[in-house]
Amino acid sequence: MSKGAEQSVEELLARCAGGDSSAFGEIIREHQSMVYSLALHFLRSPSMAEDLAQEVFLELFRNLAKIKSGAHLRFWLRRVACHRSIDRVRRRPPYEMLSLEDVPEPASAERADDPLLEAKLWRLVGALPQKPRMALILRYQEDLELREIAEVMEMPVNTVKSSLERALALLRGKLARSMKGVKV
Amino acid sequence: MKPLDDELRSLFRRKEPPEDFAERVLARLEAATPRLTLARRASALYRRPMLRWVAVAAVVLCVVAGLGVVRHHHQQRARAQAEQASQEAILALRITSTELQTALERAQHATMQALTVPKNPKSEME
Repeated sequence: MSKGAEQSVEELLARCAGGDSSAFGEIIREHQSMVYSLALHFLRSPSMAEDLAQEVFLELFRNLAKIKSGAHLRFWLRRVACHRSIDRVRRRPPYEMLSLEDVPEPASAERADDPLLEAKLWRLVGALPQKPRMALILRYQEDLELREIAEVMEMPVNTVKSSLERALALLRGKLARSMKGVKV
Repeated sequence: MKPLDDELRSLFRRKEPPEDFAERVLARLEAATPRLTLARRASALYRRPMLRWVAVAAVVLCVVAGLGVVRHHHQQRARAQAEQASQEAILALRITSTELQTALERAQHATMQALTVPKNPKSEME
């Protein structure tokens, strides 16, 4: 994030502390795609992701006094979104009724070039254990370094490294097998 | 086919939530505001240095007053116990004194009887 944007987040935080709710609205709009996408990619349910993202921002409002800077705000949001998503999956019953809005949208222009490959990848990612899956999302959605992922997930760096390597090896192997020898 | 890294970056690209997401969060916040505002007001009051000292003084005063009340209760109970013990001791002394008086009277009576000389000791001897 640029220095100017960083300053503007800090200004927004100061305005929030002064009781300006429109400033909090701006903070939400600034970070909503990050929080929503983390939840959506992990939970694979738009309604659950939206609900969880809303809860994360409500929790942020209650903890605004603890936020020191724009970087701290992003770290805090990632950490809370990540932990709440994992908790939500642990609490979710094994069989769940799908609501209509949870049914995936039909393919649109925004989708990947190869919808079959994308669907296959989603299935494989969904089959990963929770923590490696979240580490993968933080790595590729947020472009975080191993050290940053370890801080967000409160895990040792080596554990993050090995679980990411294992997850990627697993994905490569399964994709290669399903593509019948095509190198990925 | 792209390398797996690129595929994953494309798979996990950020998505926007529904358009009115921020408004919905603010509405939920509005609904929860009275409770939050009260809590925030209380914490804001506590952050003022003067009020913080007043709060600390009030707590100290309450603790001291509480200790005073407890001590007063203890003293009252000890006084009542001492009074009861002294009354019991007086009663015991009274009983003892009565018993002693009775014993003394009996002893005097017995001594008097023993010392009484027979009317005609000679005839008795014969």
